[in-house]
Amino acid sequence: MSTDLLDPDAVSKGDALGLLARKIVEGYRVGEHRSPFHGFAIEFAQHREYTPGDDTRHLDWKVFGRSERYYIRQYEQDTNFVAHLVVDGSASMNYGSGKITKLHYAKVLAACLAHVILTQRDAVALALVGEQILDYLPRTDNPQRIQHVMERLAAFRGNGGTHLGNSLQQVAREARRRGIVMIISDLFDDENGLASGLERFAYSGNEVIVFQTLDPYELTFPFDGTWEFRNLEGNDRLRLAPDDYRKAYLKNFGDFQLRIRRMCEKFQAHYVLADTSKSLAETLSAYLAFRHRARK
Amino acid sequence: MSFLSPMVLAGLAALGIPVAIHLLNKFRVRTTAWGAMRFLHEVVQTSQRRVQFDDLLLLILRCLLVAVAVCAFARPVLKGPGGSGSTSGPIAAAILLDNSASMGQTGGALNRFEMAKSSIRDWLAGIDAQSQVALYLVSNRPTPLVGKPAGDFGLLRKALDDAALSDDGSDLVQGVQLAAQSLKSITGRPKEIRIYTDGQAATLLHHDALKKLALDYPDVVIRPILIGGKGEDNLGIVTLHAEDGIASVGQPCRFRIEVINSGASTATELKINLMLDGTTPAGTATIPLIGSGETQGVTIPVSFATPGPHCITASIPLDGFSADNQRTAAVEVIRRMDVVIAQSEAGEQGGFFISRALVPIAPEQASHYYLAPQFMLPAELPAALSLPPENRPAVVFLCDPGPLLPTVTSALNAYVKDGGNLVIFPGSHSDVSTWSDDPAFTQLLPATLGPIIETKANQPLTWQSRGFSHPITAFWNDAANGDLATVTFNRYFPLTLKPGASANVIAALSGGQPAVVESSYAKGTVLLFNASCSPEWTNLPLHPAFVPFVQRLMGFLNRNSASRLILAPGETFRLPVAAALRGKDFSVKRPGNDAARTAGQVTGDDTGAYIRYTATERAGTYHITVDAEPVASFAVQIDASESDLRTADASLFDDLANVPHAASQGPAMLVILKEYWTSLLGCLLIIFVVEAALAHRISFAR
Repeated sequence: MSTDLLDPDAVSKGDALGLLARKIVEGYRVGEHRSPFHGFAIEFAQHREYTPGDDTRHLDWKVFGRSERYYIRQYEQDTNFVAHLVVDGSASMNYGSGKITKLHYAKVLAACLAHVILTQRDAVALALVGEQILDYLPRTDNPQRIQHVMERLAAFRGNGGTHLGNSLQQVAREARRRGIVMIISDLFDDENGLASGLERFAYSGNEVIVFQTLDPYELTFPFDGTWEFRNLEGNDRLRLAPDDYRKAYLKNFGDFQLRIRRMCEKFQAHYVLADTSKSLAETLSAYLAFRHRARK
Repeated sequence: MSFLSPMVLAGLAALGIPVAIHLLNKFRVRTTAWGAMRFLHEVVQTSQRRVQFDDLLLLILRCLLVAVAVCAFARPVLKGPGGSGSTSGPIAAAILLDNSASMGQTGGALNRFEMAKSSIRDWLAGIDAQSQVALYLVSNRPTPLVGKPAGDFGLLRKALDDAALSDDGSDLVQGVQLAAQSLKSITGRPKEIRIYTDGQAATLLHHDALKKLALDYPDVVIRPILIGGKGEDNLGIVTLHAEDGIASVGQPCRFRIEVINSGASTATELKINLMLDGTTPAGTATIPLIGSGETQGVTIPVSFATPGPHCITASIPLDGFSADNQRTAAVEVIRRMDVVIAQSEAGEQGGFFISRALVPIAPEQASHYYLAPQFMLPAELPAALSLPPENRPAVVFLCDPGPLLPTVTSALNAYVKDGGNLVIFPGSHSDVSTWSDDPAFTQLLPATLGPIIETKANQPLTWQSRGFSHPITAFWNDAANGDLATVTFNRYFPLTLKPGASANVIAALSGGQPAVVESSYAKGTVLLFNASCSPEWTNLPLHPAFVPFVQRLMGFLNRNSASRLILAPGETFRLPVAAALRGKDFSVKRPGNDAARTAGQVTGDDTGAYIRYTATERAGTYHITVDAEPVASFAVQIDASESDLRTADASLFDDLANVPHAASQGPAMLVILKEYWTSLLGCLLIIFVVEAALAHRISFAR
């Protein structure tokens, strides 16, 4: 599946975005019935007698102490968890070297993730942020509400500056229950603010996944000739011959990515590079495969 | 500076190409929105100045590349007045190769002459193929090898290979004049005379004449090329001759040998060997010390056992210049020498005293003596002087001859003209006033004679005491040899030197008037005394110095004859011989040859038969035979000045080379002195490499 499926018009309409997400996700999940997010928000269900081969970690030693018989604790696995989808809508997300912008890609990615989560009867909360939370959809575990999520995503227009740290703090205040926080952003922001946001999520026991959404031109800077770069988040312009600065830019940008990765490692957040030139399935499969491995 | 292809300079418009590309890149701007602006800002802040500098540097280099390429293809040249000596472009040149003897000096494997040839070959290899070059060997006898400037370098190289060193002296004037004339007809190209010389001081002896030539030919540059640096240290024999003048059988003859030290250090204990006829040791001598720049001499007596032609060779140890380590002289050893004393019957008895002085031995031994005086009347002289040269008297003493007939004066004139020696003692019977009426006799006389002057009895006139400059009387400058001031006169003929005549005063009166005068007339010599050789006139015949005076006089006169046996290189040898030999072939054994070869025929004219030989360019002894019988020997000696190898002041050469030339030439004579396109191509390559390296480095850095 390629980015060709990400028609900018389709992304801007709720129905079309929902269908798109469903198509992407179902195309990926053919033959897959188990939730990659299983075993997180779990509740006790019943005991059964131990049989050789069972995982001894689940032995209930209290029952053994009372009855001197081995029982295995069984848990309710379809318990809902809450996934907070944070989508950056700052102006810098409006850059796209091809047909789609980083924001388009982020919206489809968020839609796909929402689709996966809701169809498993887990809960999704959606935060569309800029310098602050621009739109917030409280958590819902009703699959019927998926259309609502898609419409809110489709209607979202990126604009203005960004203050991701501030936005994450706000999201943290909304997310009282432990869950998963999925941040979809280019992270072109104050790195200290981002760090404080991640730190708060990490200390409150949330699992954080950072999808850094970047355009291939930002990653490779392939311009030649003379270009005037117009800042999407300001009024400044810069005229230069990119050939003259490519190496320095790439080094600078590479250092930035490295700092982000180290920051994620520091706060035990999982980092995923969402290259908009690659298909969403590829991005998703890489991440979901990781989740499966982590679950086992 | 100008350009051979100025139209190509229009290509400088191509300078606009790199500028246009640069500007095009600047102004053809595309615009894009950009999110990751902060990263660009950071990069531009740190790198913009360096990037701008690099860009400007590259732009300049690229413009320079275009400009240099265009200039190179436009062929820039430096033009200047013709004859500036550039080897770029065709030129006309005359090469003067100094082949004087001093060029034979060597400090290593090659002598100066071979070094000069090598230098000429190198120069020929470097000049334009369209050039015209003449080649001359120069010494005091210039020889054209390629007389007119020609473009056939093969011929020139062949002539150069065949060129040989000579024993000649150094003199550039004739060679430079010939070379300048050979270049005269050539126009439209630089002209130069290249003189390859060792720069010996003698080379520039006539510097003024050379300078005048340089000024006379303003379009010709004279370019001396000095070969071999400063001269080698050298000891050379500069003089070898028979000091006594007459070499006779059984009589010791003293040979004078002089050695010059032109080196910087003092020479000590220099041994000189003398060989007779090349095989027989004749004596040795040692000069204890010769200071730097000094000349010292020794005298070695040699006795001859047989009459006829002989040669004497003096030698010293070999050094870097071997040509002057040996010197040869030829002498004609006589068994006897005929002398005629002609005086009138009524004349005073001067002849008697002269004959006694000529043969100062006992009468019974006179027949064995080498001088044989014969008395005769002046009227008998024509017959005696018309004999063949070998039978003619060597010297005629004319003592108070009385009236001289025209036949006598004519015979005397012819005799002296052909090499005879005449000594005149006028006397009471000599009507000297009539001598001036006889042109044949007047021509002979070095001075005119006034009427007799009687001196006062108590105030007799004397000869000068010291300050003699003539070889005959210089002996008495040393007081130990006597005092000629005691020669007194009772009466005398006042002598007045002929204006313009090259007369030498042998002795003068104490008042400064000439007393004895000598001059050359054609091949002969005439001596004129101011008094009769009799006690009535002067005490000279009775003076203790009279015998040695007459003997030295005879030696001097004979030395003049003997000097004809010692020639300079290239000088023609001429020897009167018996008429019977006329028409016969004569052979010459040359220096370095083992056998004699036929060299010509004995020819003749009104004066009689003679041998004439011109191929005397090599130093050494030449032996002449007719019908296998030795007839004569003569020696060729190198110029003594060649032994002084010290070089001339370099400023004198610079003076020749720096004669102003530009003023004499109009703009039409401007010629190409130097082309720069090859240099520019080199620059182009360097700039290209620098630009490429810089561009690579910059692109790598970015």
